[in-house]
Amino acid sequence: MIIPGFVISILTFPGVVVHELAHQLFCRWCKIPVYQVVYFQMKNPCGYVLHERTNDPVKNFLTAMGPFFINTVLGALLILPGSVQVVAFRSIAGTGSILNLLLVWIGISVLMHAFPSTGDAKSMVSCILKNPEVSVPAKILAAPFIGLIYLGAIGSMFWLDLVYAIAVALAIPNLILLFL
Amino acid sequence: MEEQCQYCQIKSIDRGDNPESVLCRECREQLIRYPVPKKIMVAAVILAVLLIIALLQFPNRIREYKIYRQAETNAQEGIIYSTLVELEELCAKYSDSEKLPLKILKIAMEYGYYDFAAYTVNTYLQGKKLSEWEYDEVLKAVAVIEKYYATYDAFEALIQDADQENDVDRIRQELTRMEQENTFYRPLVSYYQGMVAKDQSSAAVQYLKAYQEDSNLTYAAAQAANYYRRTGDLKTARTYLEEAYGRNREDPEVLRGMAIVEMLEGNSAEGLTMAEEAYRLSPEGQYVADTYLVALMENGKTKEMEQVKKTGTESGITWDEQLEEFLKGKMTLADYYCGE
Repeated sequence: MIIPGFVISILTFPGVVVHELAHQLFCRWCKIPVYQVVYFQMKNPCGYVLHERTNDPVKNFLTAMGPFFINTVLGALLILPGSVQVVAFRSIAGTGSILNLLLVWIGISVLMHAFPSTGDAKSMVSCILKNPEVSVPAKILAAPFIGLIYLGAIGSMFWLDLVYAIAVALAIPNLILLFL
Repeated sequence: MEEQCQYCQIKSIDRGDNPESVLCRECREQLIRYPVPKKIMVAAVILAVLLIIALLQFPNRIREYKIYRQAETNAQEGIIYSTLVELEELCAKYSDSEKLPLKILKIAMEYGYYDFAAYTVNTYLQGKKLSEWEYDEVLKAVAVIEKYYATYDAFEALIQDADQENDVDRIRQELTRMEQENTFYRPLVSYYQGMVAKDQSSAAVQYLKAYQEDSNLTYAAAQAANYYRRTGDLKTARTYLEEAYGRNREDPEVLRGMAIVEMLEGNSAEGLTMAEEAYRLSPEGQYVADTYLVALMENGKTKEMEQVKKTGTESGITWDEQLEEFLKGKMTLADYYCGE
């Protein structure tokens, strides 16, 4: 089923806000000036961060991939209580259910917006892969991430972002049980 | 001419930190700390509060998920009753779930806890939307449960007004007839045949037949083991009890049987452990409290024994004369438990 991307973004706007905030914070930590931040808008793109271009490959990698790590970790922690109830037990009743449903919605929203944009990928291509000052091992390390970003962008047309969110929701409790 | 900062349009661009910079030093420092709007800060605080709430729920949810995920593994290791009780608590909490009661049904049916299965179907599966496959599984379970309870009810009706001496032949004949009919649960019929057998040896044969027909009837194995124990054949008794214990570590009859064998073989401490577990699971089970009292005495725990005896008396248990003799030291363990 094809649903316009901006409709999905409206339904999952907390994830958009967290994604852009993560970009902004990584820029701050990497001492990269930010010109403008739009945390959410009702058009495409639904959010963006305009910042100074950097040729530092590490800073470039962190600012591009930062939202992926932040959204994934935050989303996984938020969704855990709800995922056990709603996903594993298939229950929406019981004590604290409204709160758990809220946590599931926010957790799914945050996880669905974990993938960096193709703009971030292009920046990484330019600043890392095409940068003669970056070592070959570093390029080899960065390349899969860039590939995954493009895969994520294409896959989002086929609900890959939702699949990722649900996979994390299901995987986290099982991973934790492995260590208990 | 030096290029001017594209932000303030006043100072010169500083390219010391970044050759591609278009900002002066002061604007650069300012824009590194680009402000987060108050609305977003409020949203971030709300998110942080929700995160704390999620983390506080974390241990309980993981515990519940662990119960659910490890239920079948625990059942395979013989921890069946406790597993079913834990799952039932989750069912009561998440009453609209169908996954939880279906899990209970699967385990209960696999291990012969038909009362649990029946309760689960009636309480938690009625009116739920199930897939075709799930519905078929429930129907199969209900068919077995109905057969089991038809057998139970038929036997209860037989013994209800029975005169012990005169009607026992009639009951045996009726059970023999039930054994041939497909509407009754054969392993249970065999067990009942053991209960009304003409002598202990024949009873043991029937109990073993019941257990062989359905390895979930571990209490039948325990009854057969009791016969061998009474005849002094502790080795055979132990064999059947250990096999049954491997299947179900929470059958009070099996635990009681093992406690007695352990004590008779001189392992008083192990006997007490088993007897205590049996008592924990079934304090009102037939002779379970008795065996616990014996085990406490054998281990020199007189005070605890008196307390348990008092509790049993208050709950209506009548202690038999032989037990009283043993507790007073007028009978040995072997005399009490062998040659009954």
